[in-house]
Amino acid sequence: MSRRQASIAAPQPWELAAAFGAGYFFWFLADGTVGLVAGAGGVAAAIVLNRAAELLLPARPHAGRIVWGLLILAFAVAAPFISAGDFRTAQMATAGYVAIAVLGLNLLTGYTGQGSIGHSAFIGVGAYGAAIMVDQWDAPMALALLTGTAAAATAGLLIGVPALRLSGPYLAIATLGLAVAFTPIVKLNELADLTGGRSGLNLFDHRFGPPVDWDWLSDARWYYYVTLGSLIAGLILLHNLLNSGVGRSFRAVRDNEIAAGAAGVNVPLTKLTAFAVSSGYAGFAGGLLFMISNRFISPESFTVIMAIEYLVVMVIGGTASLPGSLFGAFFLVYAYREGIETVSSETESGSDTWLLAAGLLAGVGIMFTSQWPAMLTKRIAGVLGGSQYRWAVGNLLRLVLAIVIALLFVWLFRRATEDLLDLVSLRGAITGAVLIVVVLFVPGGVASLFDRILALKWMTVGDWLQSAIALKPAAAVSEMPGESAGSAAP
Amino acid sequence: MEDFVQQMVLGMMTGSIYGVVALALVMIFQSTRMFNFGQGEMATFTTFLAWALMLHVPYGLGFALAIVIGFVLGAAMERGLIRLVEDKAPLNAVIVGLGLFMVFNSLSASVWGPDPHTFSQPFKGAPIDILGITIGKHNLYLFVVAMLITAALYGFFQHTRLGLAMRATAYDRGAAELMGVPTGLMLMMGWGLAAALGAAAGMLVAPIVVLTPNMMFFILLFGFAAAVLGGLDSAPGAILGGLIVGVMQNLTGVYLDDVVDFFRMPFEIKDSNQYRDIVAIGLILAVLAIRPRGIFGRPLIQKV
Repeated sequence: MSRRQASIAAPQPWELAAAFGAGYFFWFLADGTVGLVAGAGGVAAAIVLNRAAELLLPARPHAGRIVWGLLILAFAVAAPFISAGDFRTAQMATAGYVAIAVLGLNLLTGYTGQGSIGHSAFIGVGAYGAAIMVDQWDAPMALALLTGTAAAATAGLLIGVPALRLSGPYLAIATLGLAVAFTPIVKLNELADLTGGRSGLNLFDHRFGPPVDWDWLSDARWYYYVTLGSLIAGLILLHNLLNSGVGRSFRAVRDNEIAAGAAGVNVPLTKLTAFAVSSGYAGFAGGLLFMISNRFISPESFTVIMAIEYLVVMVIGGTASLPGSLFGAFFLVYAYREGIETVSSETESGSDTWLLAAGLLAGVGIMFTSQWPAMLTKRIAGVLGGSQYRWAVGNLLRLVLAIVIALLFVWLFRRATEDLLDLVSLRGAITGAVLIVVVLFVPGGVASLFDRILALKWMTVGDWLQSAIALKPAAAVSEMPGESAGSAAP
Repeated sequence: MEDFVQQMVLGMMTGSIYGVVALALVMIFQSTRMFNFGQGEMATFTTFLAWALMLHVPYGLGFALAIVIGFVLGAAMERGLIRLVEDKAPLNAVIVGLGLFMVFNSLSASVWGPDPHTFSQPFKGAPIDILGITIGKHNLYLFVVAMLITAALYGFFQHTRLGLAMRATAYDRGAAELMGVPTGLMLMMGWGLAAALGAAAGMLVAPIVVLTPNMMFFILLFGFAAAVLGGLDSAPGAILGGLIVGVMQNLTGVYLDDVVDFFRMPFEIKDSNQYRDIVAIGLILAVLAIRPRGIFGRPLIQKV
């Protein structure tokens, strides 16, 4: 095999990471090795197919992307069968409707620039709309969902009209008020006949069974496929909308409202469209929420905390980015809700693995990417080992210090969580900190890192590693390609 | 009639707290043209710290110490965090505020738990009677302290050089810089002062609404209502807005069913209390829709 062929055939860093990630995710999903094999094996197959496509179809550069897209689709369709049970399937369906809601929010806030903290109200309108249709008129699922969507879109239009003259923080306050007002309005005794008042609507006995009675199609799986189908449809719809003239007018309004108006964009109509479509998505997600969370909703299910959570994960995933919204949804369901609980329960039961891993990551990160440890240990190593062993001694010193930091971290954490802190409640603080870091240092969210990750080559990784372990002076270190915000000075 | 005046006075008591919070929000808005959505949670966190302190030191000392801690916290936030997003898009500032909201809310819940704590009251006992109106001792104390704080701030800003420097920084930062004002320091102090105000508001209100991690949540919202109503550029507007919001809330909570009956509206209201919060929020939306600059604010002019 020629050298060039070998370099094409070898897996890229991100592909290895994807195999690892998919393997881990499916191992988690299936609660067993079946998942690991399925995940890693699927990615490996995709890599092989990708290479085959590159070699056999050189005239079609997008063939590789189609392969990956098909792989993701195959995973999505097969997931309920790999998952460990209805709970995990329902969790994936939850990620699905969260993604639909975050897509809607991204349209309004990311693409049209109308910062809204009121999304939970529209989700609630959709959920209650669907629930009331079922409660009062025994509507079938499709009708209930559609009614919820229409109700939420109408609400969005109604809110959009007074919101036309508001911008920035004023709009944020208005939408915040909306989100907060939703709960007491729904709780009103005067509306209790319709909305169930304080105790909410419990339609648990009402099944939305699948239209065909197959053995393997449990209710949870049916909801999952409905959600998956809606998510795909919603993504395609949004993608087309954003690439059309309407989509360009959204971006124009976001970038400079006055200039857009001067250029002929109908700014009020654009904003109202954004509000309506965004709330429609939220309403649909709300209807799905109603179905998937055991057909029980209450006024407390839709608080401003939910709106803030969705906005936060949208920003973390990537404002104005469709894959970013998907990532944000995954982050919310698997990291924010599930991940912290797993870490917390494992840590409480005595296992230090997570803590040690986090500590090592922090230690290595501090010691090997900052400049001062390099300079400091170079001095010390020079004193200790003379100039020819400086490199080895310096790196050994840094490694030892990193391990010390890791152990210190574990010890501190243990002491803190024993009397003082409760890890599960800290997830808000951790997410808030991640959010602030993202806003300050990675403005496009995780999605903006995708391009850089996909372009990463082994050579770059090698170069970066080399620069990290070399005890070079500050100027040379900051010139290294692929360096991230770790050494950026504010 | 006496009952009506009683309800108005009670409303003014609660309103004074909204006024103090609104004052903090207006101060930050005037100096950095942004809102700190995490203001309430920072105040809650400081109030919790005060509660912990007051287990060991007397009330007065704990109060003072908590104010100082709040000041330092606010100044640190500005210097460490807000400085980095000041000149970027306003949406970023909102999101950083929300990030602070989550961090402090979660920290409070994590360290002290979600159960309610009793915050010590300096004046306990039976309500006192002034001119035929019954006022709880703590409510009166709260009102008096809020008014004292307002007066002190007014004196500070209008009659001291430091206050003048801070006002100059808020009005035109570039010009102030050229006149030799250390604007960075002024901004830090502005945020510190706002956080200290928030801490004071939290400590004053905690005995009434019971200390929980979500305590300041609605109070912050009504503080926004008061600030928006009074005009985001105007400090006296903030106090006035707070009093109005408090009075409106209280009167609605007591009299809305009677008003609906009086005007023979086609529906019936059984329990007015549910409408308190809705009315206050409706006030925000109405002000923003009809006259966004509020009562005393200057109209917002955007240069093209």
